[in-house]
Amino acid sequence: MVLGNAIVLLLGVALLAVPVVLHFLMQPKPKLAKFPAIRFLREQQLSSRRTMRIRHWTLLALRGLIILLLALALAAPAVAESAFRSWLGVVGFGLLGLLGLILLATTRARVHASQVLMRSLLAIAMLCFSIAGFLAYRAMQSGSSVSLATTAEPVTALLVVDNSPRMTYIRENVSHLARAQEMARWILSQLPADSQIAVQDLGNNAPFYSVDLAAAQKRIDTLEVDFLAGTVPEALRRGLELLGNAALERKEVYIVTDLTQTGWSSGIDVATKLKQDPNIAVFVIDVGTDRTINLAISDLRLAAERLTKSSALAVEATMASSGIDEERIVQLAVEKPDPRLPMVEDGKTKVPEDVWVQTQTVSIPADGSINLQMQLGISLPEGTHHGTLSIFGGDGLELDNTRHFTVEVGEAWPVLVVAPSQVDPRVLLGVLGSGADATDAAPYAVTEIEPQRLLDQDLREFQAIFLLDPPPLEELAWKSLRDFVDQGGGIGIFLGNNARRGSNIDPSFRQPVARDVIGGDISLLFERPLDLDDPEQKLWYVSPQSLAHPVFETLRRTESSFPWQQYPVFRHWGLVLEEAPQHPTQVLLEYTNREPALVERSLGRGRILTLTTPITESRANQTWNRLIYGPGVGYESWAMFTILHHAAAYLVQAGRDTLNVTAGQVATLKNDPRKFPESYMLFTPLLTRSPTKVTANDDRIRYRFTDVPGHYRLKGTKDERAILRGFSSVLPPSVTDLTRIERSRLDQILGEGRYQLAAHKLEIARQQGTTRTGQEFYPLIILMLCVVFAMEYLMSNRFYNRPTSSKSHSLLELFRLGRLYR
Amino acid sequence: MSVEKYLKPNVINQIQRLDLRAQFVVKGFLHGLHASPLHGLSVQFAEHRRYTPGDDPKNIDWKVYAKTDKYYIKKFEAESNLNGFLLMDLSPSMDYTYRQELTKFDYAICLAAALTYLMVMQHDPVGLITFNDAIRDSLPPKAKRQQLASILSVLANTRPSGKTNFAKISRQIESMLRQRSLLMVFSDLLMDDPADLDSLFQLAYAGHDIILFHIMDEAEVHFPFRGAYRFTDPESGTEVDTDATGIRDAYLRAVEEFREELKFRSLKARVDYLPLDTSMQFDKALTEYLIHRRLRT
Repeated sequence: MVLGNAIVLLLGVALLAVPVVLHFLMQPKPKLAKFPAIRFLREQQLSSRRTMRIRHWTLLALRGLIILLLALALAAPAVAESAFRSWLGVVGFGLLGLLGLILLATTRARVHASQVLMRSLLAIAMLCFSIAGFLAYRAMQSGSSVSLATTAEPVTALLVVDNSPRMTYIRENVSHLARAQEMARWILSQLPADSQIAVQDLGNNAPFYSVDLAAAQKRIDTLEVDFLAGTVPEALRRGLELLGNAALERKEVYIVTDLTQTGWSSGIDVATKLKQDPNIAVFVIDVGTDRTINLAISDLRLAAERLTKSSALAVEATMASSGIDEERIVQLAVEKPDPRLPMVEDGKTKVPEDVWVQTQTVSIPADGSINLQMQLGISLPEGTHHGTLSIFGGDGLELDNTRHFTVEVGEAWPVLVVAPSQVDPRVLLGVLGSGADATDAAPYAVTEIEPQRLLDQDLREFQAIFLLDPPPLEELAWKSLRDFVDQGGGIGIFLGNNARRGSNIDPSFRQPVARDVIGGDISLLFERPLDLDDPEQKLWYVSPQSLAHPVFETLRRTESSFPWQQYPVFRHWGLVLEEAPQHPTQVLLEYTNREPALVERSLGRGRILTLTTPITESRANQTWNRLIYGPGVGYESWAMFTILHHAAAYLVQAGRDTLNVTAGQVATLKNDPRKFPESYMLFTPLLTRSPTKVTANDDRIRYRFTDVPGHYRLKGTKDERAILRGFSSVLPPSVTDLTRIERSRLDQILGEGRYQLAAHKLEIARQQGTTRTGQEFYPLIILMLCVVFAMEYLMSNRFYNRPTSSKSHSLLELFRLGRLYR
Repeated sequence: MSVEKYLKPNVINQIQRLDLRAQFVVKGFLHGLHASPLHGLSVQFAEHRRYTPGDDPKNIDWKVYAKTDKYYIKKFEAESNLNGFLLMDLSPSMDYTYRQELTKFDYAICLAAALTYLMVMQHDPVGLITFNDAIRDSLPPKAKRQQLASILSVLANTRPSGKTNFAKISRQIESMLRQRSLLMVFSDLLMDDPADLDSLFQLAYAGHDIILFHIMDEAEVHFPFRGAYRFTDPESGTEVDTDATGIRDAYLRAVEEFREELKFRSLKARVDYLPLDTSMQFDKALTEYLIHRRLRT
C-alpha cells in the first residue's frame, strides 16, 4: 500500500465523523401534538425511549456504514483474482455478522425480548465474525492481501513495438506499423503520470528509458521499419533486463505486434524470466490480421551471378499467394547501363530508367505457391547489371512484390587442367563446361597441359588449377603451385594411382612444400577391394557430416538424401592433417572409415581442395572408386557432379564477389587495382540519401550497411573511364512471411497465462485495470452501498414518519436533492 | 355556537326517522328507563302482556290468572315521573379533536341533543348539569319542548375548561337529586386517578340509573401517529416525547384494557357503559345501544 492511498483511506475513515454530526444535526424535533390520552403513553414511555435510542444508534451505524462504504469505494480495494473468492467470503461473513448484531439490537429493544433468540443471534454473529476473521487470516497468509493501489500509481512500462518489414502490410489503407504506432501512443496516454517508459523496437539496440512522456511519444512517432529487425523475444529479453533494475514496483510490458511466426521465432527463453518476476504484467497487442491478402516473390534464385558474355540471364523464383487467386503479370527487368548514371540531380539520385524487359503472366492458386523460371531474351553486355523481378497488382504487402538482383557479365574464368596423358579428364572438363559439348557460354576457359609442362606455364594467367591424378612433382613445381595459391589462386587436387610408388606414396608428395599444398601428410593407401563372393561386405563410401560448405550448395538445397552407399570407394589415400594455425585446414567430406575424403586448406589468399581418391577412372576400370559412375549406366552420381561444379566455382573464387547479399550481411567485391579504381561513390537504394565514398582495402571493397533491400551502386573512374559496379541486398524470404503464430506457441514463448492478448483498446483498458488492481471490490461495495442506502432510507422514513412529507431526513434523499436541510 | 348546529335538519331527520322506524324500540327504551319503583302513583293501565321469565312477579295480574290460568303482566302507560339529567364533563380534554372537525365535547352535545329530543318527545323531563371541578351550569328537568333549546343554548355557550373532579361532583349531584333519576354522563373519563369514578358508581348504588357515554376522540382510539412526537396533555400540560410508531401497539392495548376495565366496573355497578369515539355516527351508536338496552330489559 502506498502512502497516498493510506492517506485517502484515513481521510475516508475521518469522514465517518460526518454522519455522526449530520445524524445529530438532522435529528428532527419531535412533532408537537396535543393529546389528552397521555396517561396511556406515559406507561409505555420507558420502553419507547429504549427503542428510540436503539433505532437512533442503528440509524447512526447505517449512516456511518454508508460513509465507510463510500470511503472504501473511493479507495478501490482489490485483490489478486485468485484470492477474490476468499475475500468475498470475508465480506459475506462479516456482513452476516453485522446483520446478526443489528437484529440482536432490534430484538433487545422489545419489551418482551426472548433471551433464547438474543443468545442465538449473538452466537450466530460471533460465529460469522470468527469465520470472516479466519478467512481473512488465511487469505493474508497466502500472500494475497488487499491492495488499495489505484490505477494512477506510476508504473515502469516497456513498449515493444514491432517494426519489422512485415509491419508495412497495409490493411484498410493503414499500415500495421501505423496501427502499432497509434496503439502505442494510446497506451502512452493511458499510463499513469510519472511512469518510467522505455520504447523498444526490434532493432538490435539497447533499450533505454525516455526522459519523459513527450520523448517516448516522439520515439514512437519516429519509428521506422527496420529491415534487420530481430524477433520479439530478442527485443523482449533486452527490455526485461532493463525492467529488472526498475525502481517502481509495478512493471508493465506492452508488445505491439502483428503476431507473425517469423517475428516470434526465437530460441530465447523469456518465459522463465517472466516467471521469475511476477510483478511484470505482459500485454500482447495484436495489430495484425488473420486474413492476409498478399502475393509474394518469396525466393529468387539466379542461375549464375556471373555470366559470360554470351550466356543468358535466367532466374528461378518461388511465388506464393495468400488469400488471393488472380492472374498477375510478372516482369523481369534489367537496367540498361548508362555510364553517366547514377548521379545526384536536385538532391536526388538519378538511376537508369531504361530497362530490358521480359514479362510473363502467372496464376498462383490461393494459399499456394508456384515456381517460375524466366530468362531474359538478350545477351547482356560486359559489366555489372542490376535487375528486378516484380509482380504487378495490388496486395497487402508491397515489399515482397519486387526482388532485386545483380549479375556480372564478364570473360570466362581461365582455368588450367593438369592431367597426365594416360589420365582421362573428361569428367572434370564436362563439369567445367569445356570438352566436346562446350558452348560459347561456358563459364570457364580451360587450358589443358601435362604435369611436366607445369613449370613452363605462367600460372598467373589462371584463376584455378586442377591436378588430376598428379604424378610426383618436383619441389619447384610444388613451390610454384604454393605461390600461385598464396596469390589468390585455387587448386583442386584429385589424388590417384600416379602418386603410388609400389604400395606406398611417392616421397615427392611428402616433402614439406607438397604437404603445405595438399594440407597434410599422405600416409598410406587404404584399400578395401570389392569382394564379389561376400554379399555382406561392408564397403566404404563418403558420408557427409555437414553440408554447410559452399561446395555442397546443391546438396544442401536438395531435401532428399543421396544414396552414397551405392557409390563405394575401394581405395583412397590416407591423409594426416597438418595443424597450422596460419593455414587452416578442414575436412569437408569423410569416408565411412572416418578417414578424410575432401580436405580444404587456406593458404595465403587462395585455397586448395584435395580429394583423396581420383575422379579420372573410366567406367570400365573402377579400381579406386565408383564415385562418378555408380552401380551402372544411368546411375551417374549427380551429387558428385554438383560437388565438382561448386568446387570449381569455389576455387576460381567466383563466389567471392557477393553480388547478392542478404540484407545486413557484408557485401564484398574483389577489386583488382589493375582493372578497377581504388575508391567509389556508393549510392544506396534510398535515393534521397547522398552517396558515400567507399575505398578498396586489401583489394576488396567491403560494405556492411546493406540493411535496406535494393540496388547498391558503385561508381568510380579508372583511366578517365566510368566504372560501374554494385550489388543487391535482398530480404530473406522469411522476413516477409506473414504466417501468424499459433496461440500455443505464444504460450510456450511467454508462458501460459502469463500474458494478456488484446486487439482493441477497450480490451486493453479492461485488462490493464484487472492486472493493475486485481479483482476490484468496487461493484460489490456499490451494491452494498445501495442496500445500506435503502435500509437507511426505509429506517429513517419509518423512524421520522415522513413518507408524504417533503422534508425527508434520509441520507439518500439528501444525496438525491444535493442539499442538507433540517 | 348556535343551537341549530347541534340539531341540524339532517340530525333531526335521523332522530325522527329513528322514532318512526323504531317507535317500539324507543317506547321500550323509555319504558325500560321508567321501570322504577315509582310507577305505582301515577300510572294508567295500558294493557296486559304475557309474563316472560325475568319479569317482576309482583306485576303479575292475579285476577287475570284466576280467569285464564295464565300469567299476565299489567302494563301501564308511563307518565313523566322520571327525571333525566345530562351530565356533561367540561374537562379541557373534551375540547380535543384530531381531525379538527368535531371535538369530543361537540360530539357529546350532539348526543345529548338527540337524547333530549327523544325524551322531550316522550314528555320526559330532562335537565342538564355541566361540571368540571364543580357544577358549572344546571337546568332543572322539564318536559317542555323549550327545554331542548334551553339545554342546547347552555351547552353552546360553554367551553370546556378546568380540571374535572368526579368524586366531588358525584357527591354534589347525589345531594341534588331527590328522587331516582336517569343520569346520562358524557365524559372521556381521562382522569389522573381512575378511582375517582367510584364515586360516580356510588350514584348507581344509590338507585340512580346511569348511562355512561364514554366519548373518546378517534385519534385516542386508533392512534394514527407515526414517528417522533411530543405530546402535550391539554389538561395538565404534561409533555411526553415518544416514538409513535413503536409505541402504538402498546398504546392501543392500554386503551383497550382501560375500556375493558370500565366495562367491567360498570357492569358490576349496573351502569350502562357505552364506549364511543368521534368517528362513530352517534345516531347509529345510540340506536344500537337502545336496541341492546331494550333486549336487556
